[in-house]
Amino acid sequence: MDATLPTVYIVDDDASIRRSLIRLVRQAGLDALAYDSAEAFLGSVTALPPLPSCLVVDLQMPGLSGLDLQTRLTPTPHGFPIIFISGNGDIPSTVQAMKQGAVTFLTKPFDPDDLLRAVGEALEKHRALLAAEAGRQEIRRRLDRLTGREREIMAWVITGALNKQIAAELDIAEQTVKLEKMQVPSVAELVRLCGRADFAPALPAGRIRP
Amino acid sequence: MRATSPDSYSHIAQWQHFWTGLAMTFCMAFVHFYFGSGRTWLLGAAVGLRVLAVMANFTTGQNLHIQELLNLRTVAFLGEEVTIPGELVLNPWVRLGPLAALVQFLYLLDASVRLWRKGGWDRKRRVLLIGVSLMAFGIYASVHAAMMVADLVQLPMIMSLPFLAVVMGMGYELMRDVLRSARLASDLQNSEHRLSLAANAAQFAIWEWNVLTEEIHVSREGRQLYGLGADEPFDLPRFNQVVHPDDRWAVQQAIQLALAGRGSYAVDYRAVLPDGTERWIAASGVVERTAGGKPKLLRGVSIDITSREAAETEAAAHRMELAHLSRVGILGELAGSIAHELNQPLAAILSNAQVARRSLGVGQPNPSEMPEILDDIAADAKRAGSIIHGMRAMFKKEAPPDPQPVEVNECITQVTSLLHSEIITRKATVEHTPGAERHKVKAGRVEVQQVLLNLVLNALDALTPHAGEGGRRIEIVTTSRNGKIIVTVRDHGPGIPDSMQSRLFDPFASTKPGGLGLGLAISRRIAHNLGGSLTAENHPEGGAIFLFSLPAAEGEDNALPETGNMP
Repeated sequence: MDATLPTVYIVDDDASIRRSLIRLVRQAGLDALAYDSAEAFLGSVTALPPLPSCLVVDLQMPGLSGLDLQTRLTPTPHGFPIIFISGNGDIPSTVQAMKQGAVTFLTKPFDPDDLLRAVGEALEKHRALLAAEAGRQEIRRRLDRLTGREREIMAWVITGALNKQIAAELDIAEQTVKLEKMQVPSVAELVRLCGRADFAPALPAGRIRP
Repeated sequence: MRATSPDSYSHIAQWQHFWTGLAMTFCMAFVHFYFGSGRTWLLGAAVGLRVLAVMANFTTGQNLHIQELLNLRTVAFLGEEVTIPGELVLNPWVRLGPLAALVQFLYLLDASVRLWRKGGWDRKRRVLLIGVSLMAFGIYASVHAAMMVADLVQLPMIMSLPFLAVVMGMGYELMRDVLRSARLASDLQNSEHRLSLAANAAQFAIWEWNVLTEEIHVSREGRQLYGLGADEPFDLPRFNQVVHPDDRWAVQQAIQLALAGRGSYAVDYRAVLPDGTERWIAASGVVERTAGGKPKLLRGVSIDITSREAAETEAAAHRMELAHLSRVGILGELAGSIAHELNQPLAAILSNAQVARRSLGVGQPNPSEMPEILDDIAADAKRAGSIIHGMRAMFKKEAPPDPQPVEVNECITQVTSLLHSEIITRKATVEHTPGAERHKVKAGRVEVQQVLLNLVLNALDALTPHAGEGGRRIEIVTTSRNGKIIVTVRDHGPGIPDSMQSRLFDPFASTKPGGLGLGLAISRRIAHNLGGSLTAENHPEGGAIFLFSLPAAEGEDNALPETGNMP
């Protein structure tokens, strides 16, 4: 397994489906890992590397079904896009799967190209997801470098208050308000970054009326 | 008696003793056979003593009574002058006469009393007419002889008249018997005529096989039944020719069984007539034995059941059609699941084929991967093929008979794999305990599978939708006991409701919405047809348990071979 390749995780109880899909995925230049049950996948999900990846899941399996697996993965931060495959997909499960954010739903026997297309789409989706997550991480890293006082000031800056106002409010020199540590060209950019990192603006009710 | 000298008198009396003895012996023999109630040892003693008396009569003295007769007397009797013994010397053996008479009397008395006690007017009349008259005659003769010997009466020894009464009694009895025999003969003729009429009407043949000579006597109807000529000799080898070659063994078995001990003979077989037509015949009979217990005669009747057999064949065809419809119905309900089972290998084949084509297209096929891919494709194609093959067998109306005994555990595996995705969809688990040995039954694979399919589907239906994992378990266990293979299918559902207990196997009794209620009824009939049974009960720990029992294939080595894959 190449540690840098995007990975497709295959969860299916049928051994010959697993083998054939591993071949298909690897031939497409991706990495593939297969699990024979939803439980087996959930058991190792925390140890998976943060590479672009997606799940190809059989809908009907003994024990936890594909939909069960999807439900259990939703609250986790991995956010793997899921492609469902099923030998006998009924409409209600299809609807539920799509509502829960599945990339697509393929009925066995499917055209292998359709699966590869869906895998490509899913990986793209995950890549974007990972990039967004990486951005968030970067901002958090920068935020972490701020001192308590600096954080206080920034909370005021992103409310749109003028430096003069902030200086007055916090009883500091106007020069101090400039936040070089955040490496941003403008206050607007700072506001955008803070939004992405869930950094809340200061809202001292009653003191400032915007 | 008109003897002129003592010597001639003694001589005449000597022969009179002989004839009397002979007459009495005949009388006792008559009683013995006519009454049938006398004690043989008593008869033997009486006859023995009589013989001794007659021997003494000829070997000692001048006769049994008289050692030496000195003179004769003349007395008047019925207007005639007759001579009687005068002075005489008694023979010392004289007591043999009364002794023989006494034992004879005892024999007659005993035989009469025993016959009387058996009751019935006919017997009582015989006792009164023959027994009493013979005893009276014996008493008369003995008393008379004793009185003469003691010289108490001066009368000639007259036996003829009282004996005439005895003879008349016997004559009357014999005449009655002759008349009765004549009537019986006519009755017998009538009854034979009636029997023959009945036999003709019911088309059954009466036959009698002499075990020793192997000759078979058969009624006119029988000759027609077996297609024999009116005068054609009929014996066992000829009979064997008539029996259909496929049924000969069964007929021989039935005869052997009857002769060897069972005593009754019953078998259905086909007879092939000279013109080639086949006829189904049901024969039954009983063995008659000699006193020594050896079979002597096999006697019985044969009935033409060709039309009955045809009706049964037709009924069997209807049963088969119904079973087939039920199978097709089940398969229809399972269509989705079965499609899923088929789609698995097809999906794998498509992916594998794509990979193979691409790597060939690139021109750099992986030399180790390619054979693997092709092997996988072949295996998946086989898997799809076997699903279709199994389905086709179930879809066929007439299941081909399986020449080999069927392994029940194989059937169970096939059924659970057919239901694989159905089981998954319903979130159930099926545990199969195959048991330590092979469980082979003589039955059609499709029929066994149909019953099992019904039972497992029933168990799936019984599972409560939101039960925990333990409640969604189905246990299938195979065991064998007393020549029976028993498959139990247990679910952990709510069990059979009381209202359904008695009519669970009735057609159209169903608790399921949309259920026709034919599955269990047909399954039970299939089980019965295979010589087995299907019953249901509630498990004490909850859930229903179905017992499907089938006769084990005979002569099959049910032990696993050493290489067997034991769990």
